[in-house]
Amino acid sequence: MTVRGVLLSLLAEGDRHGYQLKVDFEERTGGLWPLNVGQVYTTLDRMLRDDAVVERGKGDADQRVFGITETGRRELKEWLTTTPVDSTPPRDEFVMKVLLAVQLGGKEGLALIDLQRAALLAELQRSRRDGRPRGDVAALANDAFLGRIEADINWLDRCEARLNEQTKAGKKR
Amino acid sequence: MSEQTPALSFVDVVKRYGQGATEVRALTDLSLDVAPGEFVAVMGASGSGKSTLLHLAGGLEDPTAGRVFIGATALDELDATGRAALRRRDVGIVFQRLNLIPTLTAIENVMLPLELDGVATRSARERASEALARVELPGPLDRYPDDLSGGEQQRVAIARAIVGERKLMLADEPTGALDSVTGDKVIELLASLVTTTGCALVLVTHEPRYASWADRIVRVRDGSVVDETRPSTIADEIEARGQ
Repeated sequence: MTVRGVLLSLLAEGDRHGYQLKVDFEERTGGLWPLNVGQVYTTLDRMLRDDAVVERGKGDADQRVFGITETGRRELKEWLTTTPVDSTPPRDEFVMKVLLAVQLGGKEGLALIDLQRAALLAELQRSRRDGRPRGDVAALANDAFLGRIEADINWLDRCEARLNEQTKAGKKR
Repeated sequence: MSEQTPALSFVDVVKRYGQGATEVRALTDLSLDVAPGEFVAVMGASGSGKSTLLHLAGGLEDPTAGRVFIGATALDELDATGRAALRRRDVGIVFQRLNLIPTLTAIENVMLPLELDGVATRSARERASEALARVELPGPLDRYPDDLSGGEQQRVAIARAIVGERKLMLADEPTGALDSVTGDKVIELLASLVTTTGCALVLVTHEPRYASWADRIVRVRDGSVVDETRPSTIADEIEARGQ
């Protein structure tokens, strides 16, 4: 959905051919999301099928040029104004490992939490050393990435506090 | 590690408050070396002992057992006057708030440790003005703390902490009263001062974003250091684990 939404927003600014869409997509997303041209065309073909875009003929170098339709504009508006919030807790590997660590409890559980925290802190440090990416969009995209790492670290602190309460209450399993 | 004398050294330090049933152990057998020019971030939950660590490093409190060294000087060998002199000359401290004397202007606040140390007013003013230039305080230097924003006040406090070639800077949640963008700038400034002045820095923070500026991140739990994160070794570890 993200690729489709961003492509629609580019086409809403003006007609483009596939390679142009790829280049503009990467620039617009702060270099966070490298896209291959094949993926662009697959998405365009689906949008053609759904009447979200039309083919406007051939460009200078004989490439297919695409434009957005009214249906496409409606879809874009809907996409832009919907906030993607996960309604279920994330089921990723990191979360599962830490939940297991909390239930493991004691020193082993703490050691696992420490290991995860150290890795996340190292990631923050590495990113700090690499410096802020040049360009406002790329810098903001990087901030979003770092903000999530910070949130994960803060969550680990919460898990650690929970584990400690458990240990103190002698409920260790 | 290098052979040089650490800027700060904790050797088997214990700190207890109260006695008997009400005894609280703030630090239990904590050992830590901070090299000259090194930036160490100290993290840990509230009550883990991280602020106590900073108070002991600044000679503001005494350990119950163990020793604290600033450079080659053992703090327990100094009397109150000796420690006050050490804090004026060698160790700069920045707290979360209430750093500045409200009845003195920005530059007078920075001049204070120098003047107390007997430096002539004119020379003190020159050095204070240099320090304020280093922390890039915008605008006139004769404004009172009340007329400065939170971020500007911390810049003045940092200038006071580095004036007169200190060997060690101690900062206890210096960003605690600031918004995150201003906080970022304050930490960036502290990190750059470590590089340009060669002064060591110990930063106590609970914010990973600020800790990530450090050369080394130390975690304190139940009064002792539990893990130390050095970027290179942890990176190797990750690489090794990544199959």
